[in-house]
Amino acid sequence: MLESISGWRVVASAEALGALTGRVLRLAEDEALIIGGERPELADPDAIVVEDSGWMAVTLSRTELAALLGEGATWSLPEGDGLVQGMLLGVPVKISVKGEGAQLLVLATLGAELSERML
Amino acid sequence: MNFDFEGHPVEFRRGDSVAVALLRNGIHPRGGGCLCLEGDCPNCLVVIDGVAYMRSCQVAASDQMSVNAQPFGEDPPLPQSADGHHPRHRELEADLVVIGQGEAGRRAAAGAAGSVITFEAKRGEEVVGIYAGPSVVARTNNGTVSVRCQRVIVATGAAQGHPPVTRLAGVLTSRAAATLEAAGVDLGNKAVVTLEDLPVIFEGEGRVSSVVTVDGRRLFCDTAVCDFGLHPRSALLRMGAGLEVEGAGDVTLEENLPPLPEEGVICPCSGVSVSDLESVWDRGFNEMELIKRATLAGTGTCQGSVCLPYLKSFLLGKGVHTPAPFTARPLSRQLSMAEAAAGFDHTPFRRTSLYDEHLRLGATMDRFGGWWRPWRYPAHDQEYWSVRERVSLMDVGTLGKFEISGPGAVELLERLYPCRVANLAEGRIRYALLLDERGYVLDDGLICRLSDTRFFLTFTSGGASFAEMWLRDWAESFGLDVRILDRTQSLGAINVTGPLAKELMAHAGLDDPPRYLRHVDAEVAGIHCRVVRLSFTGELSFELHHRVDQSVELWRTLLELGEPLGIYVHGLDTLFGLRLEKGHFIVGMDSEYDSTPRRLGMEWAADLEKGDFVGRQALIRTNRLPLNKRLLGWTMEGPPPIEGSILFHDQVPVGQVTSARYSPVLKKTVMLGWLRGEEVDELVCDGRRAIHTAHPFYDPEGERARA
Repeated sequence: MLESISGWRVVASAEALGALTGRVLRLAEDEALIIGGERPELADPDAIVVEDSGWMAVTLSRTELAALLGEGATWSLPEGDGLVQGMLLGVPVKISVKGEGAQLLVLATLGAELSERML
Repeated sequence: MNFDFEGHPVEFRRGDSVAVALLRNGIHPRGGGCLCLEGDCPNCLVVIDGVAYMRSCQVAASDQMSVNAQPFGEDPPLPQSADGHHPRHRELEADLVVIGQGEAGRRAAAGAAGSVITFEAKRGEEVVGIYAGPSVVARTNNGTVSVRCQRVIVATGAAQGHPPVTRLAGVLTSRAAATLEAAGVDLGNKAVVTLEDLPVIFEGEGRVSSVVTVDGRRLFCDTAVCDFGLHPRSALLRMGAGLEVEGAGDVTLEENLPPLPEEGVICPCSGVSVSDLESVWDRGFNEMELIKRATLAGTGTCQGSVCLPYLKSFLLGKGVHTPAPFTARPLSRQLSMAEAAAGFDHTPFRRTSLYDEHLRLGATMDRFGGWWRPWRYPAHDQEYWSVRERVSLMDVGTLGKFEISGPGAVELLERLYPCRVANLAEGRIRYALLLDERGYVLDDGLICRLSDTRFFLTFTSGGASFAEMWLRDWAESFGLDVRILDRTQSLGAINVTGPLAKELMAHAGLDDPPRYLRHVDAEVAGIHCRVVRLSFTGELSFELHHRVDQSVELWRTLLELGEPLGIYVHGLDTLFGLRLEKGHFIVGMDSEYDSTPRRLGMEWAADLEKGDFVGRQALIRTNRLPLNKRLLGWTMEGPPPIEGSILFHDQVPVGQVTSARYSPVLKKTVMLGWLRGEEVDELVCDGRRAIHTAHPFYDPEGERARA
């Protein structure tokens, strides 16, 4: 059920990242992953912007993801929207929660392993 | 209702344990031996649904169950499959854990304040260990449980004493006899023997027919019922010594020890006899712990439940006044491998974007540096010769790959690397070591300059995650304005290597590939790549870094284009031999914890004149000391010795081999190995002469790589 996704990986100043629009997952103060879309323009001449296809993802309902975490993780989804990350069945994942939906992301190098463990 | 025992149906009644059902049908679970039916002895062990060491008295009988005997003196068969055995693991918390739900346990639980969790073996809940915390770990019918708590009360009661070991059926403790009679099992004519009757001799063929007591009475019977006193089930209590763990009820009883028989086996698990005890005593094993280690008494399935009273009697007889029981450690009960692994997820190994391609080519995969990597392909001999004589591909997507930019980038790299960075021209590459503050080699890789303020760095496959931490930490410590991006997982890399590599690049549309130690961004077979020219194999090589979603297309196209050139692929096994012919060391394989550039023979890689860098002060200091160990090249005739083999000089060990391979092109074994002390020209390794030989062993001038 995991599918390859591509987007843009950006490392830049916090101010430049803060001005980004679109489906921006802020992975760290200086780093973001933008899913899909055109190459972003940033107000940081030293920004690193690269096309990134090294991820796999699946979109699930909040209820489905909560059940998945209940089986294979020691942490749970946040009550509100946001990005959380941790180990699911021993594999590091990121989960972007928005409303009643959530997108689970995993590095493509670990996607097959996670799929096998979820079976 | 019935289950299968050794291929035959066994009828059981609701509430029967497996042991009770077998005994009702006239079957002793292990053929013979005194039974307690309380989980204390090893005499009812069976294999249930492929899982060995199951106490049949503790497992409720159920339909579809497959039960097999577990013979004495033989290892049970290993399960052929883990299918169906995936127990869950739960983590719980409580104020109090009470182990045992007899009268004392129930009273302790009822009177406690706060949250209480209870375990009872008769409910299929066996506590296997108490750890610091305290933390109580149990196996249950629904998987394993770990409970963190404030306090533990052990109310496991007391076990009935066993007679010395007999292999006859029909011998029971009095509690076992009561259990069977309550379950409607006819025991026939019973003879009851007590502590005063010991030592006793059981007589009969297969099943007991009479018992001879210490005073010579012969009691004829169908069942011998033993009432030999109580012995505290104190293993868990002893395991919790020093923790908030206390005993309640019979577990704190003073025990009446049985007299030691003159002969015979007293430990059914390890088959330890009275003469074995005498033998180890005579050899100086005069304490309980030493006797346990020398004989293995108490280390088996029942953890001393049967033999410990006899061991204490033995020591008392030798004048040891208060023989303490041996130390109790987890696990006190058997766990299946599946139960031990419940709740544990092993560290995942990453797969490159070419993983399925390797499988398609028939590769044998292995784990290396945190990745699944092809070790060998089916035409193994061709792997080597395609590199040395034609052209070959290797998946090197596992290399650590980083991009770094910003006004502080040059300064950061100058301070981290022992080589010069500022004078590296755009489009050029420099090999570099990475040192820690003591001047020891942490990793190695390439520095590729992309522009004034941008660099592309590579690290070893296993070193990437550490490298990011290292780069970020030092950038922050120095307060430098840089951006750092780990591209290891999003960039694939294929190494094209061999004397015909340039022809293959031309076939793929790259007519003007970069010169040695240079890089360009270019289209290769229609795919945008960063083409990096260097060599680890010793042959003309190009690393093609590209987006991971294009790896399969690039790999397949190159294989197709290379077919007229005799292309093949190579795995790690072959690469290790190729690089060894060139004398290239591998971090962590050939280098040691304290390997400096000087000890590795790579002083050229550290420019002490360029200004300060991490490790420089340590190198300046240690360079003044005598060189007491160095990594050198060695050659020898015949097959390679095992890596790690000792190097001898005048029969004194002076070092060890770190890598050794037979070189097909040089027709001798080439090796790297550490030498401690004075440099010598000849050593002995694996009983043969090893000659110190300058490396690279192959193409020492590097003409092939620069071609």
